[in-house]
Amino acid sequence: MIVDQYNFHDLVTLRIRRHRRTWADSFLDSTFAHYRVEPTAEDVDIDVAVGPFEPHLAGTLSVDGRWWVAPGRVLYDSRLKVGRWRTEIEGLDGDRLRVRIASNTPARMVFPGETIYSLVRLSLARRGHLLLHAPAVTFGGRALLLPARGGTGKTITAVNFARRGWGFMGDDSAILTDCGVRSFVVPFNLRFTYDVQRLLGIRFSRRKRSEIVLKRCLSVATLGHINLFSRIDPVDVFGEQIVDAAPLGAVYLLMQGPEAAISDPQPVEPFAESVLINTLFEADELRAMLLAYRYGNPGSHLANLWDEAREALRRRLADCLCRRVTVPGRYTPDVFEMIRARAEADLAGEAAP
Amino acid sequence: MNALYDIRGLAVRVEGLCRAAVPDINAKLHWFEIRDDGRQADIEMRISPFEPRREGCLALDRRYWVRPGYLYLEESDKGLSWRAEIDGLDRPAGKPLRIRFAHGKANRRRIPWRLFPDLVMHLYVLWPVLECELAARGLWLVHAGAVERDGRSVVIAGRGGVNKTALVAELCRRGWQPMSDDFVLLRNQPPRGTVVLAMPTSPRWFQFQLQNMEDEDLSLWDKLRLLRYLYHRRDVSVAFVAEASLGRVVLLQAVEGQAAPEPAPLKLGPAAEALELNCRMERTAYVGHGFRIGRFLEAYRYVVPESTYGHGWDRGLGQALRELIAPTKAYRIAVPKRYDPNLADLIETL
Repeated sequence: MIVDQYNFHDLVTLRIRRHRRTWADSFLDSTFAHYRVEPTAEDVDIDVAVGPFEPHLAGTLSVDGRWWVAPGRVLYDSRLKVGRWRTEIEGLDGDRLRVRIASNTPARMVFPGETIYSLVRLSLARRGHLLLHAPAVTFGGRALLLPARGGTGKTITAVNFARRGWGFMGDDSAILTDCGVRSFVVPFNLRFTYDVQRLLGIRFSRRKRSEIVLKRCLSVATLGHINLFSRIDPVDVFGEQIVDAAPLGAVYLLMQGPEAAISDPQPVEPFAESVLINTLFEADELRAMLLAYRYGNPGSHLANLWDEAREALRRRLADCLCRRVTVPGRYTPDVFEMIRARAEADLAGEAAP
Repeated sequence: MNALYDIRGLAVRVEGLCRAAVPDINAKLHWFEIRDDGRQADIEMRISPFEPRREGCLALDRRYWVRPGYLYLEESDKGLSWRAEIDGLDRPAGKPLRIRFAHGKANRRRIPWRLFPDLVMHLYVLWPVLECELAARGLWLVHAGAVERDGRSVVIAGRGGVNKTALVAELCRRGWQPMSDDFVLLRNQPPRGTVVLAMPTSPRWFQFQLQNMEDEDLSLWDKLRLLRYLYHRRDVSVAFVAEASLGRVVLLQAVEGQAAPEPAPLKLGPAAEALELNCRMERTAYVGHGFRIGRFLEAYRYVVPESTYGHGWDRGLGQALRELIAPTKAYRIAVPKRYDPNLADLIETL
C-alpha cells in the first residue's frame, strides 16, 4: 500500500492510497508534490483510495445513466480520450470526503487533474476558500492575481515575473482566503511549442531534452491526437522565490484582444463576475457532479455553494485594485513590460505613472 | 426552407432549414409553425455559411470571440462541429436577435445526424438562447411532459430515460388529453394562477408511440420503423391541448434495482430545486467530457460582466419555479428502470 498525504496550508488535507504503481502514475506523484507531508494516522479532509472497487448501486437514483446518487453519496463515470475512470464520493453532506477511484491505466494521467482537482476545489469552497484559476506573483510582500483563460499567456506572464525576481505562488491556480492569497504550486504544464528552456531560463539535462523531442514526434505522428505535456517542477526553477502566503494587492484580468492595453481600476461589481466565471469554466466536472447530486437530494446545503463563492469573491476583491488587461494574440516582451510597470506601481502603492 | 414559429408571442424565424430531413426531429419547434407573413421576428436565425465579423473582439479559449452585444463561436462536441454568430445580445426592446449558423463539414456525413442535420443548431445554439428569451417574457421552459383532464393538468418531470413519454401515452389511452411529452412552458396568469402551456417538440413521434408502442425500449427495427413513419406521415392526428391550469407536479426518478413505485409528497423547496436542476442538467447531460451547452453565454458574460442577458434564467429560474408551483402539490416517485404499467394507476390516484 502506497500512502501519500498532502496538506494545503492547513486549509485542506488530502490522502491518496493505492495498491500499486503503474507507468502512468508520475502525474499522481508530481501534481501536489509541493504540499507533501508525512502520512499521519488521523482523519484527513479528503481520503482517496485508488484501485478497483465494487460499486454499491442498489437503491441509488440513476441520473442520465452516468450518475448514481444517494444521500451524501455520488458515483459517476468519466471518460477522456482513452482514459476511463469511475469515482465514488461519500460524505458530501459532511465535512470529510471519502473517495474511491477505479481507473484504467491511461486515466491515471488524467484524473489527478480532473477529479482530484474537483475534490480539492469542493473542499476549499465548503470552507469558504476559493481555488481561483489565476497565477499569483508577489512584489513587496503583496500578491498580484492574474486570472485568465487558457492560452492567454498566464504561464508566460507568471514566469516572466518570477524571472525578474518577484515571488512566485503558482502559474495555474491560487487559493483566495479571507486572510489573503495562499500558493497552489503545481508542475508547469508546458507544451513543446514553447521554447521551454528559454522561457524558464534554465538548461535541461540531456534526458529531459530527448524526452521533449520524443513527445513532439509522437504528437506529429498522431496528427496531434496525443499531446503529452512537459511537466517541470517550479521548485527546481524558482526554489527560493516560492512564497506561500501574501495579502492580496491587485487583480489583473488578462484577456486576448486586438491590442495591448491596461484599463483604469474597475468597480468590483461586474469585475468579480468575470473572475468567478473564469474559475467556473475550469470546474466543469465539479459543477456537473453537483447538479446531479442536488437533483437526487434536493434541499442539500450544497445548493448555495457558488452563490457563497460569488459573495466571498466580491468581499475579498472590494479593497484591492482590479484592472482588465488586454493582451494581443502574439505575446511580446513589450506586453510584459507594460504589465510589469503598472503592476510595480500598483503594488508599491504609488499613483499610476 | 424558411419557417416562422410563434412560441406564445416569441417569434422565431429560421431560414435555410434542411428540406430532405425527417422534419419532426429536424425542426424541434415544428408544432409552433405559422404562415410566414413577413413580420419581424424576435429571433432571426439563418443557417448558411458566413464570414464572421471579429474586428475588435476579445478572444477566449480559441472558441469564442466577444465584444459588447456580439458573440462568435466555434464549438464542437462528439465529432460534430459548428460555427455561429449572435448579434444583438443586450439589445433594446423591439430589436431582433440575429443568429447565423454554419455546420462543420463533417456533420452531414455522420449517421444519424444526416437525417436531421438542423437538430445540431437547435440543441446547441438555439435552445439556450430560447430559454433566456422565454424567461425574459415570463415563460419558463420546463423539461417535463403533461396531460390534461377537465382543465387541470398533471406535469410529469424527470430526466431522459425515466419513461416520461410512455407514461404520458399510457395516460392518454386511459382518457387523459395529451399536452406534451417532453417540454412545457409555465406562466403565471394572475386570475388563473399558474398555467401550463404545451410545447410538444416531436408530435409525430409521440403519435407513433401512442399507437404502436407500450414502452420506450426501442430496438433497431423499431428505430427504423419510427424513422420511416416520421418521414412519410406528414399529418398529426393527435390533438394536443394547448393550455390548462396546473394541477399536480410529479417528479419521476429512476432507481436502481427492484422497487415498487410509491409516490412521496415533496415539499415546495425541494420540489422547485429538483425541477430547476432537471432543466439545468439538460445542458450537461448528453454531451462529451468538459462540454456544456450554452457555455457561450457564460463566455459572453466573462468578457461583458455588466451584461444582464440571460440573468433572468440563470439567476431567477429556481425562484420563479418556486413561485409557479407554490399553489400545487408535488410528488416524487422512484421508478424502476423498466417501465412499470402500474405507474399510470398511481398518477390517477394523486
